[in-house]
Amino acid sequence: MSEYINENPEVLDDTQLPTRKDEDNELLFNTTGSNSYLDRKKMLLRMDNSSQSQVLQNIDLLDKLFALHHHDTPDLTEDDESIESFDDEDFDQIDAQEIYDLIAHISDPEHPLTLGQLAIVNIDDIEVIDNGNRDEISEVIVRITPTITHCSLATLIGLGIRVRLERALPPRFRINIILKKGTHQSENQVNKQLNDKERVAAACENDQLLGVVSTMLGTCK
Amino acid sequence: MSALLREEDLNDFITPEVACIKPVSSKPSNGVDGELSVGKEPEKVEISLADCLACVGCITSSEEILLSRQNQDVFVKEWNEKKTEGYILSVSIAPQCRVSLSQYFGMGVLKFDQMFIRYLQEVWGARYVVGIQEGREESIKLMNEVADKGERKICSACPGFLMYCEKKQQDLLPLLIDVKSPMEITGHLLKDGNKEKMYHLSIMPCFDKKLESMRPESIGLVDCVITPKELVNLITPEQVDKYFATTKETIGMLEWEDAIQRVTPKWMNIDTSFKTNEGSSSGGFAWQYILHRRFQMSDNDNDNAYKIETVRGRNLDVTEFRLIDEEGKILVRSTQVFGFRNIQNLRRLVKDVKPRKLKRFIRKRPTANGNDNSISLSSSINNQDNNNTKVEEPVDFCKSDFLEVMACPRGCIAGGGNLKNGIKNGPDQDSDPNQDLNTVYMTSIPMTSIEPRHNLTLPSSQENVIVGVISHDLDDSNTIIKLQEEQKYGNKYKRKLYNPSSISETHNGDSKNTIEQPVQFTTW
Amino acid sequence: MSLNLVKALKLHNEKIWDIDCYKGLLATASTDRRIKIVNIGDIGDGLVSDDGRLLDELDDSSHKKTVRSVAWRPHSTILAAGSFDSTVSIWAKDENDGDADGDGGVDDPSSFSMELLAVIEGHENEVKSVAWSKDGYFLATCSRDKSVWIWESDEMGEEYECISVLQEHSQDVKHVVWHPFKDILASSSYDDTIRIWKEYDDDWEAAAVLKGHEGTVWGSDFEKNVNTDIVRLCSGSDDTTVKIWRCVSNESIEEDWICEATLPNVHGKPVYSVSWSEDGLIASAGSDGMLVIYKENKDNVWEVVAKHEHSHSIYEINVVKWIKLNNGKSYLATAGDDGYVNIWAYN
Repeated sequence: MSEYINENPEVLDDTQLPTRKDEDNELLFNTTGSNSYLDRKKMLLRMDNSSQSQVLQNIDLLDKLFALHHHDTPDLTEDDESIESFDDEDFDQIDAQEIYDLIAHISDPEHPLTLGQLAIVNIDDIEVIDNGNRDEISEVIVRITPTITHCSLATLIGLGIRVRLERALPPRFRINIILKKGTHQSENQVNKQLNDKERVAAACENDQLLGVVSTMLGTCK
Repeated sequence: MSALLREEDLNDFITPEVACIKPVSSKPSNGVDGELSVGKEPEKVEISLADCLACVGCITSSEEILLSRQNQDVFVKEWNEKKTEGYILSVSIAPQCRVSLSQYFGMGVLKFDQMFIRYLQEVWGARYVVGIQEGREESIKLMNEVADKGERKICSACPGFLMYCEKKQQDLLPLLIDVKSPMEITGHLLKDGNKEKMYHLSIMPCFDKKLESMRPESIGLVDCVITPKELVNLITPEQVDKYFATTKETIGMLEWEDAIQRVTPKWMNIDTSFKTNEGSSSGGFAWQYILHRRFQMSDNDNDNAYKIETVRGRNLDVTEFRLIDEEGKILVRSTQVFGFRNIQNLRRLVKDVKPRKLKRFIRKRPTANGNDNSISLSSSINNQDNNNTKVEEPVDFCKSDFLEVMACPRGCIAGGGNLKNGIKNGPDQDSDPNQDLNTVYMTSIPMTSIEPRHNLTLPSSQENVIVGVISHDLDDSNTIIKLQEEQKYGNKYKRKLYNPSSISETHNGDSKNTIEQPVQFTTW
Repeated sequence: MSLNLVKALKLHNEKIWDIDCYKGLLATASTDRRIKIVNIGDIGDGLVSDDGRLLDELDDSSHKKTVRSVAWRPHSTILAAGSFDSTVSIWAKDENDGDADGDGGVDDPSSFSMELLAVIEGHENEVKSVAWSKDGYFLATCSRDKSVWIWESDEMGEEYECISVLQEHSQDVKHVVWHPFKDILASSSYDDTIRIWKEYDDDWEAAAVLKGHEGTVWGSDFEKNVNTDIVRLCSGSDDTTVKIWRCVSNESIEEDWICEATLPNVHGKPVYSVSWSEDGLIASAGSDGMLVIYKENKDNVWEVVAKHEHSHSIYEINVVKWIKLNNGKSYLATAGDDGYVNIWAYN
């Protein structure tokens, strides 16, 4: 294509990125733990907020550590669903801004800039289908715009976004990450790989990949 | 170029590789070991296929690039350059390729040889044209001696298998016989004995031989490897008519020997050049080993105290030769193992496995078709036919004293670069083209016997070979041979086996282009 | 016709990818690498108090990554487990176990244990599925390395020899399944095709390539037709459809297959698993959490006869299988991302 959309992205400054006024709830959406647990987590993260934070890089571990407090090894023959304490609110509807806030600060694997700054993710390219009801399936569609049409890291960027969203969003969300139409040579192949649940799960068990993803997520607030 | 490597052709045992599965871990290119090497502009590579055993997934992108640097177009370009610089052209051709090409042109092997030599001389100005038999004999003799010592027993002449071991099965490396392959030794023979500048082109049945020619210990021995598939692309239709026209006349031995006479270097053995030895069409290493061991027991061919028995393994690609004494006790086992599915079972050699129980799972197997040319060999075979009621001990790799391992099912005759069907005869549904080629190999190429050696012991420390130690008994021919052997094995003919950590050193020879990753996106 | 939840078993804290049930013994494959063996044989009646008893939890250090697939070997208590760490582990019930009368049932649950018999290596990367042939002679495994391997074993299940490496898929192979009465194998792949494999002469070869799906084929299952002249297969795909395939000729090594039908499209999201029962019902489940049952009517048209939304609340369902319990009746078992195994009765 003669003039590719995102080839020479005008690097946006952090302050230019769309944001919401309330910063508190930004990245702490998770399914386990009560409000108090959430608060403790927020506090901990505020204390140690640097991008080198081990804590930030091991949010999973953190969840597990906190989770230990709350329940023992589950009974295997439960008739009712074993319910972990959820947020009190039954309806916490998530919108595009929230998704954007979650992913805009992910670093690009190559440059010391974030996906938001490079306009790889844009709030207009995020679609959310959610009514806040946690008993219904919701959907998120994120369209990404890689900087070059043959970007070999498109799948890595997509993986980073997916890991971020999977960790942060409630389980009712089905996450779809696709390339914006016309932005990549191998669009269909990349999309297929990015949305293959099994491939993603296996990639997350690959130490090397996980290391790269952790670095990418390190800049998230 | 890539038109040659079509999926349909290479269907039996290889897989087209779009993007390397392990781009990072196996080949650190410009990053530190283990770092994700982020690509720059990917280099356009014509070949993305390799009929390599290693292409179960581990052929790396850098190897893909290397492969693309050896093909018929590269040969033409390079030879045209070297010609002007005063180089002479030597061509070596493997017997499997002679069989394949002769069938392709619809003629006998000897006739093809004669025509091929003429074609090479007139079109390309070749000075020397040789077969690889002399190189193979040297290789076999050395291999046998290394195997006799008991530690190393797997033949490493197949580059596909060799690379697979180096990348995926490093624990097999200590068992590999570290002697160079017939192709490499032929390179030595051509170049070492010669003062002039020489460009050596080799016609080989597979693409892995190209990678083998670029191994550090063999750089410069072979300048270019091309396969029959590529060769026929080089020959124009006019040249086919002029040089490879089929005529009714067959060719006599004298005429054939005469043709070879003119193109064999003086320092090489003209008697063996275009012949082949008994054994499999992949070189007969396993068979030659058992013959070697038999000769050690008794140098009398007619001695009935020692018999060689041929036993079929679990499938057509596994065959074992056993040296049996008068009481029927098995003294030596030498096994042929072809094909990736069987190579998998070599793991047993290094894993802690319980000894194979004789009591196998009984099940009915569909019977193979009757003719079994792959194991029909001339002289000294005591075949066990199917009606024999004797219960045979099953083939167990752990007990083998020698293993000839080839990546391609059916062996080198079925190599990925070999042509399967003749232009005259179309593909025949029922016959197995590889089987037919095998038959031609066994019956149409004159055979030679490899001179058995007297018991020579190689230096125990293979690294520190003292070159130039003169024995006082200079007229003792044994000692001279011993010296020469020590020199050869200790220096030139020894194969170096690489562990992945040192693999990054292997392809630094060509510093012109940095090795890039020609992938479109990272696959996980 | 109704579909009722009989039992919900919370077995893992992470995704359960696969389950297999044989003679009331349920085995699970999970992200947490712990394979659980649970006795569910008597669940059907709903009256027995110690149903769903955990019998054994297999050592989670035997696999370094997610266990993706489990399969019981027919006529035995040998279990194969395939993992993302590229290996397959083989387990067998310990000799001195609670089965005093040797009937394969579990007399003393507290002494039930499985020991590791072997670890099979060979695949380049993640193993996605393992399956035993009808008599347990062959074990098929498939992987992201695009290949399907066939192994032969001895009676004890201790030694494994590779007898074939099939590399015809052009992408990741997701699932393998054997025909219930013949030694025919079907493999489903990310390359949108299903391949049928048969033994021929000296080696295994592809008898057919089934094209038609427009996305990754996640799984397939053969019809359990005793009349082995009729061979049919159902498949579930990323394209949200379930298709039926029929073999129309198998004179030579090559076979002709046609896509006979596409089942009514109920799922709006990828279908991860399909299962064909002995009495001709097909069950499908996937990302949308819906469990659907189809039946062929007298005009050979497939109809939806039952469906259940949110079978694992809002989580995805990874596997569905028809199973038989000790009371001789058929049930459906599903497992999902919520770590639950649910047993359903269809009446």
